[in-house]
Amino acid sequence: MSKDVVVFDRVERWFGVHTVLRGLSVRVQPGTVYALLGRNGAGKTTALRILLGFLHPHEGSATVFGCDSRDLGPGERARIGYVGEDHRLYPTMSVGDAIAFEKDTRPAFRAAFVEKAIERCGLRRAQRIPRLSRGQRAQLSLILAVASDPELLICDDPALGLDAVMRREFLDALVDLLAETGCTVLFSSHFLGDVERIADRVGILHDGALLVDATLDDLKRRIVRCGWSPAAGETAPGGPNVLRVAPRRGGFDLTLLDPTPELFASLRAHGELAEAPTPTLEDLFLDLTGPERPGMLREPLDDLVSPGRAAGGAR
Amino acid sequence: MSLLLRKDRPWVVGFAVAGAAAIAIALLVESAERVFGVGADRLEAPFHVAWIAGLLLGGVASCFDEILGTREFLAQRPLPRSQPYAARLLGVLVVLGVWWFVAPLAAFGIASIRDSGLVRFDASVFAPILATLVVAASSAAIAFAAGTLPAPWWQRLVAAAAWFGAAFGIVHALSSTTNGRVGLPGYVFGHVFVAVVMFAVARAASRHVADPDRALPAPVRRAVLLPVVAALAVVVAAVVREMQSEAIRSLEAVYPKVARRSGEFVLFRSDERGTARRVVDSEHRPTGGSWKPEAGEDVWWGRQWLWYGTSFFFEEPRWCASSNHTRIDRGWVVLAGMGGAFVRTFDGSLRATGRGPEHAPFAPESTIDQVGDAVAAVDAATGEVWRFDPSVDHFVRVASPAGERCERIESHYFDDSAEDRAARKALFPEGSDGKRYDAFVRGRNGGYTVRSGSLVLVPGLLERADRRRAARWSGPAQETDPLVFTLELPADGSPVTFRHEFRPRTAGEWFHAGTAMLQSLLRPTVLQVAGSFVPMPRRAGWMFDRLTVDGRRPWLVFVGCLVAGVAAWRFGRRLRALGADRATQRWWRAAIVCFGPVAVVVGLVVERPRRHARRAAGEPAAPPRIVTPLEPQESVA
Repeated sequence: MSKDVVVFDRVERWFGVHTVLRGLSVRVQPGTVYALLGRNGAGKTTALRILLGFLHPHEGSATVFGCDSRDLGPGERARIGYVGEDHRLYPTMSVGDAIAFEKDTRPAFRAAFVEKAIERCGLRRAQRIPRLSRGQRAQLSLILAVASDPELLICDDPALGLDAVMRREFLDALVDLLAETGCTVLFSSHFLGDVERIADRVGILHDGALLVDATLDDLKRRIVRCGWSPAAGETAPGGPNVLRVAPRRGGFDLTLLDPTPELFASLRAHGELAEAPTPTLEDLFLDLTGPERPGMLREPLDDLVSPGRAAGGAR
Repeated sequence: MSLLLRKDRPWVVGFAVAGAAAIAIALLVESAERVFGVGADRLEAPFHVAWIAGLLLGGVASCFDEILGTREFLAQRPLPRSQPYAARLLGVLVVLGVWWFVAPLAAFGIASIRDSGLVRFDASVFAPILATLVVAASSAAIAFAAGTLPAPWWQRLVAAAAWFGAAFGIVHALSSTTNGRVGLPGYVFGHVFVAVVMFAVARAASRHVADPDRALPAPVRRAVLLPVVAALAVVVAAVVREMQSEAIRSLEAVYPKVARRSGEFVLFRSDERGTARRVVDSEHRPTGGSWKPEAGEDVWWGRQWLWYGTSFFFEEPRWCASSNHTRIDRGWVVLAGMGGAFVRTFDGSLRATGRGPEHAPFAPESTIDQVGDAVAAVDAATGEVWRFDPSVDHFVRVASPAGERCERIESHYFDDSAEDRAARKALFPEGSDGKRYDAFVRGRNGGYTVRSGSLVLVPGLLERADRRRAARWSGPAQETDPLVFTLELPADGSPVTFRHEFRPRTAGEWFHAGTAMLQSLLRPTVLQVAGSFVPMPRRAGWMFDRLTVDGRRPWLVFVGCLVAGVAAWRFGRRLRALGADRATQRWWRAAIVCFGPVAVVVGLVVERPRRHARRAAGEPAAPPRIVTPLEPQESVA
């Protein structure tokens, strides 16, 4: 049995006739902050709901602390904190009630930490939950989720719907908490700048399959963007190292994976090569999952995962 | 637990207060004297408030977290899976307890202040109240179970409606007696049993997460789907019964009628406008003869009147006969349906009275009326006659003739015949007060009046009353085959001179008869087979098929079984194509064989196409294109 906190092992999930996850396999090691990225409908929320036992996979398995997510008991759940994308709290309660409810339903609860945290966020115990702003609810959700000192914190797009200021505050709170507790975090997000700030490792889901499972540093090191103006008569380059070829005036923008010196030499021999600045995570995300434009060539992502698609068998 | 109750506090408090107030108001809407004084025979408003409040309570209790969107917020807590269910159940029981005990007491308190002289604190008046309110428990449990089902909203609503209709119909039918009363212990037991079963169903359902893309696990299917299909089958049986009744009425309308013309019985059909009557032969074909309808013609229809219980009933239970009262100088003497006797004075006070100085109550269903010169009552249990003596304010026994046992007090209509005039003179030697209806004591051997404290036989009265009754009412209708039956005339006991077997003979008659037979095939097979071995039950007739009950048309039952068998086989094939496992296929085959087409419809809804179950065996999924190897870590066994 591995010591990985989270393991997705070839998880497949269907909704009606649509495949949402196609053979998802991910391992999250203790202490890692893992960001699950993907476009809308890529399967991030489904993956997290399977992990929490709210949904069952059709194939494969998801385990948390070595326990199958379908059989999570109170013992395992006590070690998990969860922040949903809509920051659900009982609207019939006040902040004080919500804290008491959390305290009484969790075996461990850091009351002093909560007091300090809600004070820092400007929350008062008497405030009714429906009267809180979306940002305040997000902060309270996060405080309550980590108050029980979880070993695994699962956040499903926790910053969704927050404005830039609130998102930054939320992120700061999360960073502080991580510094204090050092727990493992698995979260999904659409805010790639935030992900860059806190994630150790990212997984990019596209169309139900995992395209990337890498550290940020490794990703940035291995993917190189450059401009290339071909000599007369030359066509766009191809091959397994060329992820994307986007036409521009007088040439192409190339996204290369693990480019070899021979590849650069070949490009220089057949045209003019101009190196681009180091891509951000957002650039990489768009290169890998973004829409195709007319004239653009890209290593077909579908082909990259074709064995998995065959395993899904229904498209 | 208390913590989860805190979460549920809004609906627990809201329903406890609002429901108790509604029930108390409903009780007060009924007369305080009737509810808290003499004891109610039935409680219409509290009954309807109780079941409606129960349904709302169960629905909200089961779906509270779903309504607030906090279902997963709760589910991710480190709590045993059964604890939220137990907390919700506890909340429901607390609310029901408040409704049961606080609402009647509150209503009693208000009534005591408002009508202080007319109410009395007696356990017997609370029994029908509490028994009527028991429907709150069963309806709450039904809604609770339906709300917990792992299914879409509309399916939960259908399940709730089916459970509600089937449970209330069956309990009412099984606990009712032949005279239209409802047995209190049986009714309470039935509804408590329904509540217990439904809470158990809810517990089984609460273990499963709603997921339309996965088949229900076998234990959940057994515990949840079986009650749903069974209840739907009962409801479908009741609905088909009504549809069949319509087809049978249409058939009766097209069957020819019989008229007596010049001493001869003739089969005829009226034309569309009813202006002419066309003679038909024994094969129901027109013969060409006709006549215009005349006033005062004797016409017989082949129509049957059926007894209470053959249609689906939904109404408040009637525990006993209504109370009766008879006027005395200072007010009324009231005999409650449960047997208690009271003197209700004009100044608004109610005082208990009864048999003898100890004020013993009468048996339920006892009768009271002004008979002769006394207010008399006949005890239904002992057959004794008692008269009310105003000087001592209680009933004193009236000696009966040797060997006589009195049955009841009943009214008789006195016409101007010599017999009735003689009987009337015997009843009122000093002269009649001019009423046409008067009461007498019906004994086994004769009709009596009470005069000067004694029971006096009125010669010929009983025979006269019996003849009048026989002429008006020929006894309980006998349930016969509605499609094929024989009419014999005259029906007054004289020799039969006309006999005709009505059965479908023309295309129009076959159309309606065929419609009724086709509707039989929609009925649950198990009820069809069971019904074919027993006579039409009087109390739950609405569940059974008049066309096949008591061994009628065994071929129709056989065809129904055959259709169910073919449907089960076809549905099994469909399930196999959908990738269902063998246990699921077996379960649905058995359900369709037992319950017929209704199970097919439920199966089509529940067992949706699941394409993932049909795909080829999985090949290894593609690894991610860009991977950073994980740091090596120690492994544990």
